Amino acid sequence: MSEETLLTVDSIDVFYGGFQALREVSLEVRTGEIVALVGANGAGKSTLLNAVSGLIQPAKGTIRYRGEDIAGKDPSRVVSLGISHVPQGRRLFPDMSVLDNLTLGSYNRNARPRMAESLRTVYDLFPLLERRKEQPAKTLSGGEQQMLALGRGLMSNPRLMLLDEMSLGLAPIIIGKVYRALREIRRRGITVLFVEQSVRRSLQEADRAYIIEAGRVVLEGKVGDLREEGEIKKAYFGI
Amino acid sequence: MASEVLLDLANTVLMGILLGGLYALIALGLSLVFGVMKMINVAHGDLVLFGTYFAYGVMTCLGIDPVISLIAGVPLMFFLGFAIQRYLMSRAFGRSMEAPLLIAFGISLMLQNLQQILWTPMSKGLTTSYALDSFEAGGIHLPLAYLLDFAAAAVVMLLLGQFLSRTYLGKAITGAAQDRTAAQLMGINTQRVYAFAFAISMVTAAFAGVFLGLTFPFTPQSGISFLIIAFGVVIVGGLGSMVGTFLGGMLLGVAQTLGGYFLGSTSQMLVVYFLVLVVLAVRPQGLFGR
Amino acid sequence: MDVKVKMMGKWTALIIFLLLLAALPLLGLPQAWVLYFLLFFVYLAMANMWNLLCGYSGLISLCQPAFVGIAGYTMVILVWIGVPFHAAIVAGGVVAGAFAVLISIPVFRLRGIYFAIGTLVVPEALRILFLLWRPVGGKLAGGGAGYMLRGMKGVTVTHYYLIAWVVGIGSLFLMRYILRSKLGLGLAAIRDNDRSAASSGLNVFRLKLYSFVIAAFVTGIAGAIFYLYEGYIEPGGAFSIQWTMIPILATVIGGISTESGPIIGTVVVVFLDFLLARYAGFSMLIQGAILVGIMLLAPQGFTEIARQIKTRWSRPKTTGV
Repeated sequence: MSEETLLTVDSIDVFYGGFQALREVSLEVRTGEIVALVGANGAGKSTLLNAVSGLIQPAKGTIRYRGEDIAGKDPSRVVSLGISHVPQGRRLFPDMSVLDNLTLGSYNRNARPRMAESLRTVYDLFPLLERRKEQPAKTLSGGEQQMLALGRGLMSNPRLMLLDEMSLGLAPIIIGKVYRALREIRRRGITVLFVEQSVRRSLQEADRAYIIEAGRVVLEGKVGDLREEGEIKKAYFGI
Repeated sequence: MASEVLLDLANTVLMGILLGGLYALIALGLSLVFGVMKMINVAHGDLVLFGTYFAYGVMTCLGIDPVISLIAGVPLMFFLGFAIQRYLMSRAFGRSMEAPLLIAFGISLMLQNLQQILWTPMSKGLTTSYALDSFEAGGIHLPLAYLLDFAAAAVVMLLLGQFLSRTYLGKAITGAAQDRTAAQLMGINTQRVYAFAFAISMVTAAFAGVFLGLTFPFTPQSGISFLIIAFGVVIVGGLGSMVGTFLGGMLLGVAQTLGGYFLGSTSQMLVVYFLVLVVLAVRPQGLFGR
Repeated sequence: MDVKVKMMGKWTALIIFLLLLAALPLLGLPQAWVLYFLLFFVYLAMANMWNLLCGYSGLISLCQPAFVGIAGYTMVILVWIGVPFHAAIVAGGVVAGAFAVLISIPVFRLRGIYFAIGTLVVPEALRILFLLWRPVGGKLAGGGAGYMLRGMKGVTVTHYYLIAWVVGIGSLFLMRYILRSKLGLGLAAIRDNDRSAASSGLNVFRLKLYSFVIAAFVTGIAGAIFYLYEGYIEPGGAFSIQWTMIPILATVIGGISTESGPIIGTVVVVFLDFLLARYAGFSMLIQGAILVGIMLLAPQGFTEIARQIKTRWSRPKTTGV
């Protein structure tokens, strides 16, 4: 596994109007890793992902992807560079079919020539999507929608996937399925940065983790080391 | 005689239904722009009228039939729409709620004045040989223009529907309308998509303009009534539903013809306006809307 | 001590200026000048009212022509049947205000752009209505629905100029008063977010209604004065979109949501009117182009530009010899 750094976030500040959502946040993701962003509601995790994918521009600091500064770039640009963001709440196109949702995922010009190939990959990973391909997205169950969202994210031919709160609103069994899919995705060579509220789940699935509280990174490190931390034990038993 | 009155009434209703098709066609562009960009283009009526005057110009200067002139009118309106969105409206979006409205308002005024200068404030019509014909069968007496309008409306709406649901770009536009953020994350450049949507809305306006001109006389001031009709159809029929737009159009069309029948032709628009205000007050999401 | 004298000086100068303006017709200036100033005061009142609605209450109203037309027709009808013109003007405003209350019922259920178009429908409908309705007088030669002003013997320009002056300057004081009152605070809260304002206990509907009715009343009076001067009213002009256009243009040019904006804007608009008098056929084209231009380049209007220039001048020079 290569140690090349794929994504570097360097001391970013992000504001929503007058409210400061992120303070001097720094983060690193290396190729092939699965990294978790953990924290309570409103801690700023989603904001961080939004800053990386270009939905919001940091007021200060840099975000480098494969050496290139992407802070403030248009999301459609960022996608074509190889970053795929599966947003919180899935945000599928509710009235469009599963197939349409998937094919739109390949819209960016780097992914489009590979659409058929990507589709095959997604169907192999999630056979249920192929079975339901003509159904409108809104008629799928929560878990199925999450699979669709993941599949759609894969269609853009990414190197790095940003996954925001995949387990939201899902039953534990389904969550298990989703994270199994995540491991499959890593196996295919895609690096993952995911956001989770559950500390336990994060430590289970990730290689490294960052704990965020009130817009700051308060703890970071390899999952094995973090498990020993006193703070984590408190959170581990507390949550 | 009762049967005569009944026949008259039936005729009136039928005319209203056909007229409704035309109204739906006018509303189509407005509905598309609103669905995709969440913006009501107050210049829509004047842009439709621009299409009408363009056809008029081509007809009077080159002697070409208005429907044929669409061959030039459609690309012209497409590029005009693309440019307006790309270079004018897009700049206004971030600013405030009033900004796009005021810009559209400004465009509306410029168009009105332009048309007044070029063509005088006198009432004009796209008078072709067939525009005045009527179709008669079993006591039913329908102007040919109305039938053509309905047919044109049906065809355009069908084509647009197919475009939006079957082509890749159409799906991208539909997606951007349903969830802008998600569309951006798919790599869809919303700026370009918006420009395309506006351009397509102008294409439908070109069609609407020509068929309006064939059916009714128009002055440079007619843009406002077109806007109100379009808005009324969208409100009554509900947003986001092409079927709803069609039905809304027909409802307004019938309201107008019945109003004209009972209250005289000067008052017929009053019935329409009244209906729009009532629906706005009672059920703003439209009769068929979500 | 010095500052106080300066302030006194400023105020006296202002008062003298205003008095001069009031006495304008008596100064022996050409009639045309007087009429431009009259127009200025009429437009100023309307601009202030539109600013009140859109800039301060968040109501994008395209309803002004309705108020102008209704007040104008009320005034003409009353004068026709012998009511003295001062009373007729006030009555015009009152009727316009009452009308505002009436249509607020359907129209206030709408927000933002929906409200705008809802208010667009009203003057259009009225225009058609007044084409059909002839409450007094017989048929006009050649048909149509216009009225000439009757019963205006002994009334000179000076009379209605003075009224215009009162209304125009009065509108400025009215704005100042409103903005500092409870109503003004409530409006500021609504403008920014009327949902959260409602949840903090403000009666949003009532505040908007007050704003709407006041604007209707003043706009109506200004319109009535205009038609007093015109001497002739007909539906196409009375309910024309120009009555929306001019206040919008004035407010936007001068700076929306500012107190001095409408003044500056109205000066510009009237000046433009004067410059382009020969090109009357192009006036809407130019107005429209200016509106688009300003919204794109200087959406905050002149007051903002002026402020920026001022800050740039007063900034201390950077070091470097």
